Amino acid sequence: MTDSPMLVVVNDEEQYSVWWSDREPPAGWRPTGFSGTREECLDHIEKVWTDMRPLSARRDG
Amino acid sequence: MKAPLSPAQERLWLLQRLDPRDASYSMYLVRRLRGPLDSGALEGAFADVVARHESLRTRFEEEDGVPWAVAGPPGEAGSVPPVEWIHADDEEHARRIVAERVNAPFDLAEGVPLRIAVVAIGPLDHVLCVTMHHIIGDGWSLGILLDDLAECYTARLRGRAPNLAPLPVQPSDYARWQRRRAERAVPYWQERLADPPPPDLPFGLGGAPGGDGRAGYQVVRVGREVTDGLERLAREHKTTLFTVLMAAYQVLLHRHTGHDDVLVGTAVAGRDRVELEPMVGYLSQTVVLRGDLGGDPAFTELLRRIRQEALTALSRPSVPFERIPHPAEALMPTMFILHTEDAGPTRPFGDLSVSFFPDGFRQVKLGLSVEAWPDGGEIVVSFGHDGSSGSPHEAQAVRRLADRFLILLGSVAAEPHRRISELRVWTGDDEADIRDMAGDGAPEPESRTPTVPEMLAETIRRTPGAVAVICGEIEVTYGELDRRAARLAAALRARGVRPGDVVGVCLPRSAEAIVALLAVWRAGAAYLPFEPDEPEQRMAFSLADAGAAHVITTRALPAGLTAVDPPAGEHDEPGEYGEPGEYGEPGADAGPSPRPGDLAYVISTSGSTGRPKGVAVEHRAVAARVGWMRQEYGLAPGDRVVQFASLSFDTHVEEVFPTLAAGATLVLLPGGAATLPDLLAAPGGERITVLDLPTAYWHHLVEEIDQIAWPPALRLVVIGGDQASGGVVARWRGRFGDAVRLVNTYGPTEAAVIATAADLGGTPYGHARPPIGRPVGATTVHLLDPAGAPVPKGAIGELVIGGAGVARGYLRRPALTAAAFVPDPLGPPGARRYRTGDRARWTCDGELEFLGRFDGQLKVRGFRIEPGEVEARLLDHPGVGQAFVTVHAEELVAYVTGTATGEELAAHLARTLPRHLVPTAWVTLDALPLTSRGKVDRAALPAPVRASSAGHVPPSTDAELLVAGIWAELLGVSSVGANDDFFALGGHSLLATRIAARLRRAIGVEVPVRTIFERRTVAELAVAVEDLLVAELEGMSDEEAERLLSSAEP
Repeated sequence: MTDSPMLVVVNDEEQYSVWWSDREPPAGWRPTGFSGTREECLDHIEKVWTDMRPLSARRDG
Repeated sequence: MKAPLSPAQERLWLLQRLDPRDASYSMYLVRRLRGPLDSGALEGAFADVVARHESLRTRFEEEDGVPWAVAGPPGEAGSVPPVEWIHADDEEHARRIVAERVNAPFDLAEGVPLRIAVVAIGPLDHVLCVTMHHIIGDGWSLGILLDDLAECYTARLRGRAPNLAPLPVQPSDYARWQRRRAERAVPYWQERLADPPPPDLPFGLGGAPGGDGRAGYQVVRVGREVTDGLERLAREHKTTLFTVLMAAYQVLLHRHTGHDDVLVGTAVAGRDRVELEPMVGYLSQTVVLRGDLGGDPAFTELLRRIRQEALTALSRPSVPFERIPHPAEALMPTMFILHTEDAGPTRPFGDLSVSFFPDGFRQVKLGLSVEAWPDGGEIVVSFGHDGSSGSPHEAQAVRRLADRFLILLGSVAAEPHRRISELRVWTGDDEADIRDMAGDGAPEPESRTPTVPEMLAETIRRTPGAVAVICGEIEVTYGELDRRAARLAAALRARGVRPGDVVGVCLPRSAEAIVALLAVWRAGAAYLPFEPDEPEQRMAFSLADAGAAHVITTRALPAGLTAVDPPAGEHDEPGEYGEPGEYGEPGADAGPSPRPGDLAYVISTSGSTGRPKGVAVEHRAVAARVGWMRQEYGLAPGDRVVQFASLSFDTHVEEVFPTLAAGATLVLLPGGAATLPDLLAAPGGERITVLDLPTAYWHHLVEEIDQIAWPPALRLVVIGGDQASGGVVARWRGRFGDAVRLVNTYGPTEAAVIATAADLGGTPYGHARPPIGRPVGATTVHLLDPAGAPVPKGAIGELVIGGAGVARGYLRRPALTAAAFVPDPLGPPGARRYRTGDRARWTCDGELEFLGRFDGQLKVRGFRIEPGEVEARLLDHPGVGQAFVTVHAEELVAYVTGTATGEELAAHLARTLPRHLVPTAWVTLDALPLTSRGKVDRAALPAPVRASSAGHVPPSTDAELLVAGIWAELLGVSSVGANDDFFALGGHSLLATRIAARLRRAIGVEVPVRTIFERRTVAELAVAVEDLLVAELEGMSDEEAERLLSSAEP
């Protein structure tokens, strides 16, 4: 699981996670375009996920 | 004639000595003989066969603890066991007669381990039943026996000499030769089997002592088409059907355990020389194939690896189990054997027609043992299981396993180029089980699920005069609670707290603390609770991490933080937070109620990196949990629930909010959690109805069960946080019967307090672990394999939680959050689920069994150890209250409470655990130190100190001198002390037998070999010897006793 290439994915609440690059992301998730090893993906997320509130909480808040 | 045994025979001889009732090493030949049977010719034929084969005349004699094979001369009177002629009423009766004989054990000391019976069903219908101990013959030998018997019988009928070539080699010659070969193979096996993986098997087979009558066989057939495909695959890869089936079996195990390192034993005929072929004897060899399934290879690649392994391993003599410092169950947890097709006798049997007859054999040697044989273009596969899973549904479980193997073989035949993670294994029933067991993650529509503040508002409106909180002498009504929360909320707003903020709460156990939680919500914020004595630096770190600037506390705070005093009570001076009336009446200026997606609280948890991380939980998660608990725990006005958990631990959520939402009364412990027994004993304690306790603490209480003033009103105890002990549950049930419900819960903070729950009812758990149950409401649980696919019953996977309880994430930890909170393909679009890192398995009953951490494994001196296993066994001992096992300075250390000594416990563990799982350092404590969260506080455990007795203590009593003398001689050690350990000095199982023999010789008392394994020090064994002597003396006349005692002089 750790050595297979992964994608950075994001859901409609702009929450980030990782997914296998050779599998279709589940409904409600889309690739951000970044891919790499699991570690690389997580490092990327550490940089780009700056506001961790779900989108709905940000909008209403 | 006296000859040494082959190494494989020695092992069987020892196993039979260790367990004389074990019939699993019986070999049998059961055939139906139809036609006219000449009994004289048959008896004569048996005499011929026995005269021909030395093995069939061999008995085993022990001299000085060493077994010898003693073969009587051929043709000696009485060398042939009498043929037992039995009349059966009918076929069914004949089956029973046969089953009795094949399932009866042999006493190797009694003579040649061979039994012959002929059961007459009718004048022209007989069943031949020959049973022998494996030590004198293997499966191949049975075929020879049948052939030779047929030929000798026919010869006698026809009045001619049997046409059998003389045997070039006899078993005694073979044994000498084999001993030399085996010795040369020892280094290979020692290296090849070093550091074995944990012996996990599907469905927990092999986990408990087997053979309790639940053993059995599940037989399935591989159809012709798949069989053809497997044979084709073997040909294409220049290997054998055996290698293909062995590779598939290793994949089956891998898919159930997740282990990449898989050990499977097999038997080879060991008759690779032509002169060995016609001999009856134990020549088959037990070898172990170690499969490397790492890197998720294609099946064809795995086949290449296993073929290579088979080439190396199959030509070796048996694994010298006694010479490898791991228990045999770890080196060979399971076996897979492919037999050749049984074609029946190759020679005519007089005028008789020979066919199979049911043998009714019920013995299984291992937790799981699989045998296969080709049969008319198909393959029969038989899964033998020994009852060691501890489940009453073991037969069904193994049946399912056999069905999975069929599916896997079909997938291998059809798609051998697929990766092993992609091969199909699970049945349609498995897929349905996964869906059924997963739980329903869909929360109630949010419009219909009130948030917890809304639930509380409803209670306050309905019963403002009821008592909400009791703290010592103080009682606070719902109305007062509400007014105080409103005032504090107003104060928070006045100090600048805004909706969406995080507010720290650092207060002693008090009504103020409960008020503070409600007030933070009322201000639209989320609370971050701390221990009252939380170290300042840690608190500051967590607050900064959460972006919190305000703390409700009476403590002084570092610069930059605003302390908000809690209101002390209803009768305080108004105006504490400003002018009287500024904030008006309760509810008048309450902000909008929190929305489901708003943050409710942040719980600071320790991170593996040492930095605490804040788990952020939303109101929708809390509402789902509180709603479920209120209903499931049946909370109602009149209930009194103790608030035991520290507020810094999310268990407080389970105590505080369901109670208040139900209009019941929360009873605080102002003196601290440890004062619970005082509270129960004090006036009012008898009215407590519900306790929610950390499992470790509950174990502690049950240890003192008769000293605790259990409230007569108690109706429910909820436990969680550690593996519950089956022994403690039994003790609890013994005291309370079914009068108090016991609910075992499991869940990480990341999934909002709890995710699964089990009613621990009257079922005795025995060796099995009490389960953690099924998903709670609005929650899903899947166990995922390393490829991320859900696994069904019997397989181990990572426990992953979805549904309404999933937390928002770790505050300001994007990478950690993204790694742990992952897309949930089985939930609604965009849903996430939480990976716990916990290992678990669905039981046959569809309940979850917690199996520890993926990263929790210990290692001591190269041995892999699951501490939970050792702890569970320790808790089985009546003299142990609590147990914790860890590693200190390369030594396995056990911390225990109770009356048992380390020596007693080591002896106790040696009964059920392999040597390397028995701790070598023992620390007895009054109580295990617990963290504020009720878990064992590792940091507070004292380092083990070697007792002075570990130094050399010369043996002193006569019995100690006797034992020490024998050890010194047999172990080749110059000086043996009273506390020296047999195994630590290099002792092993064969030597133990010799020690028993020496003791018997010295004092004429039978010391069981098992006693020598259990009483591992000189002093312990000496006590056992004395006890046996005393028992012996009591049954003797004075004269006899005098004689015996005089002979006991060392």
